[in-house]
Amino acid sequence: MSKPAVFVQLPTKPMIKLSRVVTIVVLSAATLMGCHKKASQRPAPRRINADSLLREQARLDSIARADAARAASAAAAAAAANAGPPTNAAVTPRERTALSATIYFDLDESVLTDEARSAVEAKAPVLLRHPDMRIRIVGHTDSQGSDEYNLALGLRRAAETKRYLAALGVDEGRMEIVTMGEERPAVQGNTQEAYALNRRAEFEILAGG
Amino acid sequence: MSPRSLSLATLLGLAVSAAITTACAQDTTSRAPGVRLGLNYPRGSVPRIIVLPIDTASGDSARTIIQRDLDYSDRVSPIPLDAATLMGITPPEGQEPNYELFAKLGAAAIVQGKKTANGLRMTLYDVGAKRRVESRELSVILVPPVRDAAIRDSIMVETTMREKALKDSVTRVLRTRAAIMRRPPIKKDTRPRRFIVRDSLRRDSAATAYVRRGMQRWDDDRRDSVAEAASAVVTRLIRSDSMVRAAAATNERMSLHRASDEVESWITGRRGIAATRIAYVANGLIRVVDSDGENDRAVTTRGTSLSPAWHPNGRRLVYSRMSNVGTQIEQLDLETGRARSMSSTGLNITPVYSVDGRSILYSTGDEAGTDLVMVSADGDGGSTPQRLTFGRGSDNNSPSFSPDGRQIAFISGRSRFPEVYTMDADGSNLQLLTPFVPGVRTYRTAPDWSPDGRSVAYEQQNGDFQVWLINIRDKEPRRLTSEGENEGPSWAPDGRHLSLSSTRGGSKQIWVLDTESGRFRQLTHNPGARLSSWSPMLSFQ
Repeated sequence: MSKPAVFVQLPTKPMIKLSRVVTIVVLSAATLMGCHKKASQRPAPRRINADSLLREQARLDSIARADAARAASAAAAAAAANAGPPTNAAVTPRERTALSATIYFDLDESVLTDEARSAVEAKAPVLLRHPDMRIRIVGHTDSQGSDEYNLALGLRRAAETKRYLAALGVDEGRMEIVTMGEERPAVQGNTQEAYALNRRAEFEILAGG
Repeated sequence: MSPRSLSLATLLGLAVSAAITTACAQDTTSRAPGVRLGLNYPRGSVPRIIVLPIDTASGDSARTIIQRDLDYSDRVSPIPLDAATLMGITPPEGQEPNYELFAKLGAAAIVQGKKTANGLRMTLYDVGAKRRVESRELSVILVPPVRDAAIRDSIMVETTMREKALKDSVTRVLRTRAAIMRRPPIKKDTRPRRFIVRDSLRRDSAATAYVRRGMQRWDDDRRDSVAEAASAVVTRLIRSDSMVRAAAATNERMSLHRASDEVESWITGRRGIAATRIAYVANGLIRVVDSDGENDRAVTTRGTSLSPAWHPNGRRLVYSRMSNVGTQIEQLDLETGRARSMSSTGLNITPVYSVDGRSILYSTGDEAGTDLVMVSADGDGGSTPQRLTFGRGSDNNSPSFSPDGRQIAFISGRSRFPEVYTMDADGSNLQLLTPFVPGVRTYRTAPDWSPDGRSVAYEQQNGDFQVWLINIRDKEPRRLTSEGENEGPSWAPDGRHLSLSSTRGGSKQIWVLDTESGRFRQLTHNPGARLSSWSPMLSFQ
C-alpha cells in the first residue's frame, strides 16, 4: 500500500521544492525592496507605523498564500490518486501509523516545513479512503516564550495543518483543532532537542478509526 | 503668696500652656493627610527606622510582620536589632524615647505599637526633630488565646450528661433487684424446708449476680463513656477552634499589613502595598499568596488554569481553564469559592477585567487566529462578545487596560512577530508601541500598563527572555532584568514594584522587583510558578 504511494509521490517532490525555492527568492527580493524603499523614505526605523507594516505583511502573505495554493492543488491531485476509492474496510496498522504520526515545526512558526508537508500528504489518502473517520489535530509549542502567546501559536499550528489537509481534499467538517500551548510537552527539559520535539502537532482519531 | 512665687507660678503656667500649644500644633500637622511629616532625609536615600517590640499576646510576631512590610516597601529601611538591644532601648510606659540613643543607632524614625482594646496604637517618633509625629489607634484583629476554658466547660457538660444517663441505668438495676427480692414466696410450699431455703438462697444469689454484673457494666460504661465523650468534645472543639484561629490569623495578618501601610504613609507620605495579594499559577492550579509570601494557598482544585487577573474590588479572579477540547474563561468568587464559566467553546485566553470591573476583555481564537473581545462580567457568557481587534489570521492577546480605562495595550503578531500595540478601548486608533525593525526577529509579549499610566512593562526575547519597560510618551525602552530568565511582569498598585517569574534562583518562581532600587525578593516557593497578577489594595480580610 505504501510502496506505490512513495513511487507516485516521488515526481511531485522536486516540483514542490522548486516552487518553494522560487518563493524564497521572490520573498527575499520583496523584503529587500521593501526595506530599501522604507529606508529611503523614513530613515528612523522606529517611525514605521502599524499601517505600513500591515500592508507589507498582507502583500507577503498573499504571495505565500498563492504559492501554498499552487503546491496544495498539485499535492491534492497526488493524494486523490493515492487514496483510491473510499472503503468501509478497517483502518490498517500502516494507515494508522501514517495518520497518527506527529509533525514538527520551526521555532515560533506555524508554517509547515517540507518534512511536515510530506507527513501530512501521507495522511490525506488515509482520510480520503475512510470517509467516516474524524480526527482532532492538537497544536503544541516548546516552553520558550510567553505561555499565553504559545496557546495562540499552538492553535495556529493546528489550523495550518487542518488547512493543508483541507487543501488536499479532506472535508473540513471531519477535522477538529485544539491547542495545548506549552502545557503538555512531549519531552521534558530545556534543551534545543527537547524544544524541537515539543514544537509539534499531534493527530487523534475521534471516530471511524 | 509672695510676688516671687506668683511670678514663678506665672512662668510655670506659661511654660505649660506653651507645651500644650506645641502639642496641639503637632497634632494638627499630624492630621494632615498625605503630607510627609517631619522626617527630612536626602532625596533618593531611604530613611532608616527602628521598629520597637509590640506588647501584644502575639507579641513579637506582630512586630515581625510590620517590620518586614516596611522593609519590603523599599521606601524605608528597618535597622535589624537583637531582642536584648530592643528591650534595652524601649522607653518605659508613658515616656518619650531616648532620641540621642536612637540617633547613635542611625535611626531617623521610631515606630512603636501598643495593644489596645480594639487593636494597636501605632506611634511614630521623629528622631532628628525629637518629637512624636503621629499616634493613632488602628483597628487590628488579634487572634484570641487558645480557648482552654471553653474546651474544659464543654467536656464538663458532656460528661455530666452521660453520667446522668448512667446513674439512671443503675437506678433501674437496683429497682429490678428490689423487685426480685420482693417476689412473694410460692404459696403453700409444702416441700421440706431445706428445699425452700435452697430456692431462696438461689434467688438471692441470682439477684446479687445481676446487680454485680450491672455495676460492672456501669463502671466499664462510665470509663469508656467519659473517655469517648472527652475525645469527641476535644476533637470537635479543637477543629472549630483551629478554624476560628486560622481565620483570625489571616485577619490579623491582613490588619497588621494595613497598619504597616498606614505607618508607611506617615513616614513617606505614600501608602504602602503590604495589604495586597498576588495570584499566580503553579502545577496548573491558581494560587494566591500575601504580599509578604505568607498564607500561600491554591484557590482552584483541578485541571490546568492559566492567566489569573484580579477584579478591581479584589474579591474575584478571572482566568482561563484548559481542557482536551478547548480553553474557557472562568470567574472565581474568592469568598464563596464558586466558579462560573464565561465562554463555551474553542480557545479563550488572557482575560482581564475592565477598570470598572463590569466587563471582561479576553482573546478568543479560531482557525483565523485570535482576536480580542469584550463581554459583560455579570452575564453567563451567553451575550454576543463585542469584537475589538481584526487581526486577519494573526494573534492578538494579553490585553492590559491603561489606568484610566481609555486605552488597551496588547500583543499582536500582525507584523509577523509578536509586538506590543496600543489602541483605544473601542478598538480604534491602533498604534505600535515597541520599536520594530523590519527584518529583525523580535518577540515581545505580556504587557502590563503601569498604575501611573506612563509606561508599559513587558517581556522581550534577547536570546533569553527579560523584562523591559517602555515609556508611553517617548517610546524609550529600558531593560529591568538580566539574571536568569524573567517573564510575565505585573505591577503592584504602588506603580513601583513588579511581580514576575524568574529562574534567577534555579527553578522558576515568582519574585518581586523594586524598579527603583533594582532589589529582588523571592515571593513563592513552588517550582514552576508563573503568570503572576498583583491584586489591587485590599480593604478586607
